[in-house]
Amino acid sequence: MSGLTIIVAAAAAGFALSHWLRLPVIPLLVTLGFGLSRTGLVRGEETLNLLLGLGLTFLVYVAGIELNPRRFQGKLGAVLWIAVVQFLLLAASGFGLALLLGFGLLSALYLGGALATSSTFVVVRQLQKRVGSLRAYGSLTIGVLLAQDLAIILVLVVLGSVPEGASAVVNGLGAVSLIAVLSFVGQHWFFPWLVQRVRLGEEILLLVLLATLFVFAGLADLLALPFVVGAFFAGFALSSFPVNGVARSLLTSLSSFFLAIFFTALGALVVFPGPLLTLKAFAFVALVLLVTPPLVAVLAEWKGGLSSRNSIMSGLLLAQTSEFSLVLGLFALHAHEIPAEVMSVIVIVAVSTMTITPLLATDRVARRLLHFHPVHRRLATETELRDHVLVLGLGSEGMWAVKPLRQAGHEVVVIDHDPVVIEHLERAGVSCIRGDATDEKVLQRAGFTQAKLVLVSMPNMNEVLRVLRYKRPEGLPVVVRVFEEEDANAIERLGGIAVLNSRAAAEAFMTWFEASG
Amino acid sequence: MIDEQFIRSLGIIVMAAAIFALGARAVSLPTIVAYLAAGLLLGPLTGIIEVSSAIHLIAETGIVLLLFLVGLELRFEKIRGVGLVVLVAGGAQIVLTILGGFALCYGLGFAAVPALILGVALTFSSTVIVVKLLVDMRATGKPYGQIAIGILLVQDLFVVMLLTLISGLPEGEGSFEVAVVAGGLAKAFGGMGVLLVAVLAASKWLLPRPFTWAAGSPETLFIWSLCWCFLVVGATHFLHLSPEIGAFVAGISLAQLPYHRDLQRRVQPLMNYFIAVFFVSLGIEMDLDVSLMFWAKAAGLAAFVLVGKFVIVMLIVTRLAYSERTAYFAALLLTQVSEFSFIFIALTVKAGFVGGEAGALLGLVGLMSITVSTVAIVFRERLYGAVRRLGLLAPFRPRPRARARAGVGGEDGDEEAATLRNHILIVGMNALGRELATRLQQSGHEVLAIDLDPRKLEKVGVKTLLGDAESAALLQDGSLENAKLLVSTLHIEATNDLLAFRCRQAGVPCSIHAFDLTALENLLQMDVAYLIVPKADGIMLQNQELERLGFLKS
Repeated sequence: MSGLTIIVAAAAAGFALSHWLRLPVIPLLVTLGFGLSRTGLVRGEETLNLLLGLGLTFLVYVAGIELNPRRFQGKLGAVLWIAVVQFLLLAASGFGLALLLGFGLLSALYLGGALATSSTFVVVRQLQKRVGSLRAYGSLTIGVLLAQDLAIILVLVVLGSVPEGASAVVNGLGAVSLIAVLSFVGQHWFFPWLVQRVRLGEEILLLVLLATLFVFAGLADLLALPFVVGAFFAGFALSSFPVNGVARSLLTSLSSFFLAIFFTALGALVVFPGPLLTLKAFAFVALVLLVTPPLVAVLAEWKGGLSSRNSIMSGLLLAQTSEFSLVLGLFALHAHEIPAEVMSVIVIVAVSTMTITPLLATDRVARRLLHFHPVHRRLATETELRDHVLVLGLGSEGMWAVKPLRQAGHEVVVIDHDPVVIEHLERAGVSCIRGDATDEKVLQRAGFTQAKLVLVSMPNMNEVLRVLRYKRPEGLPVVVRVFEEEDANAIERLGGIAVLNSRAAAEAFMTWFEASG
Repeated sequence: MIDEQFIRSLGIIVMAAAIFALGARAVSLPTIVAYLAAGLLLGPLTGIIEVSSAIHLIAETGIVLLLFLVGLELRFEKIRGVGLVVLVAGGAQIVLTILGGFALCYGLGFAAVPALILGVALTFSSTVIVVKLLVDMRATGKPYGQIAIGILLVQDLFVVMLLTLISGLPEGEGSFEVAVVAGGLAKAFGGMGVLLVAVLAASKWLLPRPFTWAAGSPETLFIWSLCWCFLVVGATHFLHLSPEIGAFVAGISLAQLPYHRDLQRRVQPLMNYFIAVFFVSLGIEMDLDVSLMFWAKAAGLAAFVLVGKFVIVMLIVTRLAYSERTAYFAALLLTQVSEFSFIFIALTVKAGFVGGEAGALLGLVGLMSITVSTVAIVFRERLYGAVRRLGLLAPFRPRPRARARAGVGGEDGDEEAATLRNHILIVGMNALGRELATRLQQSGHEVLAIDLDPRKLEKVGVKTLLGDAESAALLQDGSLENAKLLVSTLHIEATNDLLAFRCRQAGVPCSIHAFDLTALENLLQMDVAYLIVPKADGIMLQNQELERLGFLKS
């Protein structure tokens, strides 16, 4: 118990630091775990390996629960594009870089493979922390993760059976198909029926959920596949709604627990294999971080129709290697196809990229990177804009403001960064500019100071306040729609006119409530 | 990386537990029996599984979490009220049961010392089983629950003394030195005293502010609580005390914080899982390979445990002026033997006081008494009715109360406002939630506000409930099934979907925040009574404002 206690204590410290410094928790846990191993407080590889193994299996399972295919139904094409291109490009460039850095052929192959997929559970955790609809970029990334996980599982199976000949490969693929079919049957029919028709208490439901995990893991084991493959399919079996919601509510405390100990234990197992090799490892880290975001962003925008900011966000979210990379590495290590140093490189790359993702995949970084985006700027007319109504950010409901204004005879110009929105506006014949509405230059081009009215609907309050601080003429009304009272107060202090969505909604609710008795 | 044997064993245990639990539920039996049965199947009957040290670790963690959970329930006000009464009851129970057990065993042909040892072993009731049953019955706060837990606590102290006594003895001989024993006892009691003082001082001065700060992030609070529990348990290990007591004390120290209910809800699923493994492993380790004569003796002793202990506790509690019903339930709860009994016997066997077959005997007694008593507890109401009608409870007339029985929270006290009816639940205390709470309360409706963040709940002037709205236990505590409406103002799609689903299952209308038009599509399929769309309402309000400014005509 004492090893576990120390790790839990380290995890507690990690969470405390995270809460205090408002930093994401995973990097802190890893760092503390690493510190633990340096100070020699945690001995016994066995305990660590056990915790790591349990944590890995469980976390893959929990992440699998979020991979509901229905979420990305409309975007299947984009999903496949991104998944395939990212997989192949990273694998190929990883392979090339490895050869360049002097690794052997087999090692280079595995290193390439280890770079090819993103981490399901890190990304899922990041997505869960976001308020708002998953539809913006969440569904796309979830689709990509699902596709990549399936791909890497196939790779694992094939690699595992290749030494034994073609028939073994066929058997392996057959085994995976069997589990996949079982999982699909569970996902589509069995578990929805169980959760909706049969009223089970929480205690039994939890046992059933965990038993599912073990059944699939056991099945995988029987079929000579790694446990995590079973865990993945077990999670997938539970991914339909409402099963996933119910499962998630029962598993939160368990997954917090396992998350804490997994990442701390992972940190404790990181070993720096000498300066040269470490540098090489960081070369791979750089490769992943530099190649993935632009690649994914371009594809997300081009094939997926996402706005620039959301495309960049998806790119940042997917910029890490996966828990399956660790599994791949371990497999190769046990099969003596790679030496231990290569494994430690794989571990370093995985841990580093997983650690960096929560720090990188934030709104602030996405906005900074937006500046590098070649944005088409189009002005509606050649003449300078004057006496118009300027709309900063259309939002999903903005047309309901634009239409009456146009009907009343005003000229309306909309600034928005989303290409899909711009397309709609152009089709509706509304003047629009594609750009960042918080950028002073863009505002100048749009005639900010010559407008007669400015309507603002941007989700990020800091951006709105920034806009309000720009120089503008005395009587120019800036009307901002907000949700929280403190934001309304901040806006009024800067001379804006705040419209409280929440109050309006509360009034509408009360009207309905009183009327319905 | 992973010890496959361990995962395989664990997997089989969990699967067996799940299957048997489903079966038990189908016939309304308690899950404990299901787990034991699963263990018997996997161990003695088929020999599939042997309990490894890793499984033991999980089982041990289960006990720790269970007692931690129980401790979380005990606020100081409650303990103070129960105090002396329980000490008397517990002490009397121990003395009477030892005497009765000794007499029976002597009569069955055991020599004096073994008979005494068996008598002592039969005294203990299982904290793990009783508490789990109480938690399942949601009765840890009820008087009979409190009495049972109190008596078990006294037994625990007795165990500490005993274990110290035994461990102070040289192995294999049958004698002991006074000095060594006295030293051992002093150490144990000293350690206990130190622990109690340290932990309780911590709970008053050290813990409140950091934990209040940590409550801002539910994950942090949860991990911190687990950490605190493990640290205290580590300290008890260091002081040579049992981990059970440590976990219990750790739980009590956190029970004084305002968020202990939320912690209980979070710890419970974790505990349920580990405890299932515990009971299955208990079943696996039982030895059924003995003669018929043995079975007869075991049956006799089990009868003593089931009936004799019941009578003893019933007598004591009614003498203490509790109601017949409270006494009955408390007595019923304590009619089994404990895992301590096994440990005690094992130690005395090692020290040479008694032969090895005592352990096997106790195992059988344990199996029988646990099965019968847990079933009896599940059907307690019907049993109570039957026993009353048969006039069997006549000898136990409760002593009339000299004064009102205060201090145990009243005969049916429960601190949760889980008896709300016809109220409105509002999930999410953001601007919208606060507005709605205020307006609905002003219109005369009863409102219960739910949020994860304790600071947000402080600003609101209505009844509050802290916790994760995805948790079914929380909604139960908020009396969802009796509510007239649930409103969610959250910006989180997944949680909103789940809430809509749970409302539909509970037959309660719901009103959900559709924070943008894409979330709207999803919710339209979910049977929602009213969709709150602030963006749409906001635009209407904005257009009104534009009219006022002269940009639009009305």
